[in-house]
Amino acid sequence: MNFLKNITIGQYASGDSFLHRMDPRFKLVILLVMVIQCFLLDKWLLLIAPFMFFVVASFLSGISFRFIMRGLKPVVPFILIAFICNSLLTPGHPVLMWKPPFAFSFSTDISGPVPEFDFFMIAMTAEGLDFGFFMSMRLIIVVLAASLFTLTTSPTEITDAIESLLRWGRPIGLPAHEIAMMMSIALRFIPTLTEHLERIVCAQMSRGADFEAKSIIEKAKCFIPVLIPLFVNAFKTAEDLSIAMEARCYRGGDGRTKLRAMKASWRDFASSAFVAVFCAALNYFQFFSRSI
Amino acid sequence: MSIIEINNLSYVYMKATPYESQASKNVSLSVEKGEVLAIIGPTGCGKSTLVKHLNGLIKPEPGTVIVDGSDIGEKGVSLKDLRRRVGLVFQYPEYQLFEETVAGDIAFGPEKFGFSEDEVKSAVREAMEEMGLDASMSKRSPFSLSGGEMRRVAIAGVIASRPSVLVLDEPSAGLDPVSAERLTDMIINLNRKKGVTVVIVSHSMDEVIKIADRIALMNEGSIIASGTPEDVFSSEEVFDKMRLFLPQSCSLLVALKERGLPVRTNICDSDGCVQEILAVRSGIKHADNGADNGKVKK
Repeated sequence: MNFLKNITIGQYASGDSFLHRMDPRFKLVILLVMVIQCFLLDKWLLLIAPFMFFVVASFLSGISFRFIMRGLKPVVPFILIAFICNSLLTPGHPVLMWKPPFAFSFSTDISGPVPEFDFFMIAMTAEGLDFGFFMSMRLIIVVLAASLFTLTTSPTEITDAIESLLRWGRPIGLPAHEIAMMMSIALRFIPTLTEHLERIVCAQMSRGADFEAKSIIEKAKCFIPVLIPLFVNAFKTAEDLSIAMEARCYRGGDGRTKLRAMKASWRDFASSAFVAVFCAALNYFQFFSRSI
Repeated sequence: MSIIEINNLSYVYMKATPYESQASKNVSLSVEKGEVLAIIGPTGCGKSTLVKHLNGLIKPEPGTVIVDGSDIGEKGVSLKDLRRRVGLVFQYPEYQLFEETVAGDIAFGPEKFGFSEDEVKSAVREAMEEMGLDASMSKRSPFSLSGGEMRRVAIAGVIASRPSVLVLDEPSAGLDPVSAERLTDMIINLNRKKGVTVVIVSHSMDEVIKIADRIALMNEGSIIASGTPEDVFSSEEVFDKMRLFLPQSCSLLVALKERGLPVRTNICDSDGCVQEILAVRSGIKHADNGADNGKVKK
């Protein structure tokens, strides 16, 4: 049974590269800034720059590029759908047209712009292609950036970073530590539950259960022997965990110190400076190209 | 006659990822009809992976697994039928219980394998009997039972499908010694009375020495020795590798030999061990006439 094993999104690959050694807070902020920057750009040509940025970053991560790209696999359908819908449904100058023979038409002039609404006309427009490219690029970049972040940052580091960043919201009553603790426990339990799930599925399969049923109701029934043990397990583990935490005198975040304190280094300042200049340049180009 | 034959089986865990690791390499093993075969080895040596192959949960590639004369890697071989014939009890099987009643849970397998209603009923009754579960238990919720009882219910759920081969992955892990021994006795019974071929995976030599006709030792994904317990333990080379996993009686004899006593070290059961020590002791007494007695007692 190998399902759930091929998902790279959210996985961590330990290492000792430039990206691994960066302060997780800086990584998180840079990720957010870059993603926002991507959404501010409005030309797909300009998106090549942040794409290259993350390609270079993935070389700095020391993880094989093939492995990182495999993380894109689950989003390929979304990218395709976004591309196809955008290229077909955007009004503009057609580059490819197909009209079903039974359809009657309001206009026979192919050279001009397609009318705003032609029910039977299936036309790929230049504007649509442009926009489709743009949307898919954006999706690819966001997924690439996110998986690069999780690949080089351990779950503990991520929650530490979030806790440290959320601390700014404490004056308005944001329970930073509690949120971070909940997140880290949730993250911690994903592999455990996956393992349980796989074991239970295997066990029920060897007892004759098959998961290739035809109808939806049958399919749902198939999962009862899997879901019930899984939930029983999850509750049990959660209770064990809470008892273990109490036994070690856990009482919230106040006065708690960290084993590994986060410390910014030259890597973080250098990459932040680079990202700042990079974004400024992109915005400048965008503004400049618009004014022409 | 061998009921299961494994030829040159290898398996790579999480292929083509940074986590890739070789779980088993070139494993060849055969299970004879009606025997009790124990697979022993340290944690992570590939025992559990091997066991999954027997049930068609992992496709054998490269290599072949032949059960009852049919290659399970071939297309058109019914995995469902295979899984009925080869019952697999996973580690901590009590985690797979899900039904409202004990009887309902045990009936899950037979129902899925297409037993008729009457057959299901009698299969459940028989399986509960074999696992020493009282008939009054059948209407109770499996989640209200003790750990040992839950384990027996889970095993009953597998043997209810009347498999001809029963594969158990560390059946007594986490049980108290009394329950563990009872469980072992039940498994022996199943083998002796019903003629069920048993493959038992364990890392406790003491446990398997009692029931195994044959032992296969695994280490780092391959089988390093197989044969009767005595054969396996008399091989010096195996010995060095598997020192930590020797049964207690055997390691006592080894320790005595290292202190210079002429004991044989290929004896596995505790009775034989006692006799050997006594025999050697009286032999020394006669030879040295009391001079070395102090040493021997030590």
